[in-house]
Amino acid sequence: MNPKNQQSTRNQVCVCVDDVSATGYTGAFYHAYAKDGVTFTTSVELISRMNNFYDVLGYPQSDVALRSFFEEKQTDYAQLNTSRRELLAKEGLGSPQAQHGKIATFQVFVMYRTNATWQGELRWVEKDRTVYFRSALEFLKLIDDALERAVNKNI
Amino acid sequence: MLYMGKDEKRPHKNSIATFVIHVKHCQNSTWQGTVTWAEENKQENFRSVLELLKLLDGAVEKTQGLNHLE
Repeated sequence: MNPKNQQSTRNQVCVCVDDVSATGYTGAFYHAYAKDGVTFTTSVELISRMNNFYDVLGYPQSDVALRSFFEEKQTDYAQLNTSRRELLAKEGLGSPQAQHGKIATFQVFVMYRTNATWQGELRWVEKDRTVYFRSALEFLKLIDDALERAVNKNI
Repeated sequence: MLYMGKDEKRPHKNSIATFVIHVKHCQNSTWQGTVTWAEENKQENFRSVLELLKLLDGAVEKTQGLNHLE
């Protein structure tokens, strides 16, 4: 049973930032399909791995396939479906709403993936503030701003 | 100004890859433009920062994979 005021969706991700340095921030993000988090050492890695998670989960579906410099062979849907089934079978193993980062914790709800980017809601748990983001760029800027304030102890 | 560096058009020594990014539009709260991978002379359009990061990541990963084989 979820505590009051804590929404939970199938693709909820909890980004836990454990360290902030001049080169960036590190930590792990958690979702409902694994007990362990997926670690990241840069913001690029965070975005990349979160996007892979949404691709395998297929929720939300992306409106376009992102481009690559390489001639990609057609998506192996059989493999993707197998990966998706394997992931979905593990639903409930993880509890993203229960995780906390050492520096900051963010609950992320990506509701749509249109315009080749993400749209959704970002909640800074420690300050109980929620904002909507219209792109991955905006998402990164919001996290950067929050971490700067968390590190400098500004509100 | 903070972000104005010296005018260096040559790649840095010991760099893994060099990209020239041309941001042409700022729509949908993100960037659109073209990115050119200098070493491979490949150019791709991107519709968002997410797509740009995926392009860069893919290129660097491939380069590092090849470097490990050498």
